[in-house]
Amino acid sequence: MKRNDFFLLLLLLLGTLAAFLLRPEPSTAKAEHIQVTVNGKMYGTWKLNTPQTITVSTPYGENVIRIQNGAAYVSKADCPSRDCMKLKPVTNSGDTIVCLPHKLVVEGKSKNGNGGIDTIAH
Amino acid sequence: MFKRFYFFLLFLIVCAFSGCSFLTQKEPNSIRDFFAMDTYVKMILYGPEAEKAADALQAEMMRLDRQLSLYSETSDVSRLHQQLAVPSLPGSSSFQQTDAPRKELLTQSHAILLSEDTAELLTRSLNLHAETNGAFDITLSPVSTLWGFPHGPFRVPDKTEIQATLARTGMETIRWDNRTRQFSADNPAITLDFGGIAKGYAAEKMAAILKKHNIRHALLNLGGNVKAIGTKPDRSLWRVAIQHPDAKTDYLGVLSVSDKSVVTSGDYERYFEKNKIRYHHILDPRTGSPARSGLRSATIVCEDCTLADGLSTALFVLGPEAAISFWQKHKEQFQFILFTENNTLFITEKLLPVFETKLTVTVVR
Repeated sequence: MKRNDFFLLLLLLLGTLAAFLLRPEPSTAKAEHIQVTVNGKMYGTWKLNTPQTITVSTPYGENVIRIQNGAAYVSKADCPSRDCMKLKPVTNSGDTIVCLPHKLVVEGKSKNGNGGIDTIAH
Repeated sequence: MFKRFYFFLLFLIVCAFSGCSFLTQKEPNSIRDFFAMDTYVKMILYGPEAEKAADALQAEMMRLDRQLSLYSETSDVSRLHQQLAVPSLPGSSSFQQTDAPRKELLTQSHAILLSEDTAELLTRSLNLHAETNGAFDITLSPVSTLWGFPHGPFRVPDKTEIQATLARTGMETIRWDNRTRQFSADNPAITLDFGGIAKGYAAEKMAAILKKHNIRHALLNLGGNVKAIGTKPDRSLWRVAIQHPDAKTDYLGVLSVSDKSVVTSGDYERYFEKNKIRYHHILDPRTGSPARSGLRSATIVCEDCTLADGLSTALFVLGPEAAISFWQKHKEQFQFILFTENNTLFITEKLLPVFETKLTVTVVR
């Protein structure tokens, strides 16, 4: 075996090892603020680092969004199914809470994008 | 020599860390979201005709909504139900009898011509029903309504009520001629609800429209059902996170895909709780109650979104063991990720290289 072959082999092995060890973990970017839309129209944005309660009045009904500990969730809704109150709180950029009857969407946003995640299957 | 070697190694390390994200990523030409088919739709499109294509996709969703909605009286499905309710032998005295169950009193309904979309959905549903031993069933809406699904208010019905309502279900009563598109039913009390398959079907129709507009890179999300068209413009794969059933945990993991559909069914979105018991919306056709199969979520990965949509529901109902044996007979058609009540994460072998997760996985071969 020539010296160069040996180095090539070593390089390939190290490369494989590096690729294996440095496998990207599922990366998530924490959301900095939430963007609230009603039927596609912007309703407002709120920072996630300030605990607060937001009442959203839509033509279809009312939702109350609670922000605390860097997470936003729907704490009250006057629709009969209240599915939006059961959804995972928004913490990461790209997370969404949807209230179908009120056409309300709460989406987590960050300057740094969505942490390499393009969409969420649920 | 050594210098060059170290530079190369450094490059590899940088590459591994960055996931080569320094390659420029174009902004999408169109990002569009809207509500249709009782769901929230979000689309990301690349290409010169993206805006025009987005208009066409939205129009197509609205058209399908009008055809298939259970909640609009003029939809094809509602029309079918109205026609079924009209007895085929009007004025027949047998309808006036009181003691025998309704099912036996009514004669077979007259034949009804279905629209192309309803016909296609029905054919696919009947096939899935047969293949999954009845786990996939589109006739359960009277039982769903009994529980309050999907719009509430919710309640736990008693066994007698469920049994009585189950008499209005059952796909075996459907008589269907795919060639003439003539539908009839032995039990005219039957109703069709394509909720477990229609979003997947809509995604396929949308993909066909995208092709016409020469859009080769797009990502569609129809209420959590994902259809990835091609890759991203920089040829990297679309990264689809799979929701974790527990609200406090981030994701089950992230799938990297191109030209694939990813659909998840679970117990964590449409449900209610009573006396600390969770009642979710995916009903077991055999019991008329929420499926207690040992699964918390079932994710299907395959090309055809209609199949992915239908199978995610069916496999959720079947439970882990039956789902795995079903997959072993249909390995070439789809891959899956199953998450059980005991927090076991089953994943089929082929997905292993494209699924990133912090959780321990059990590989199914």
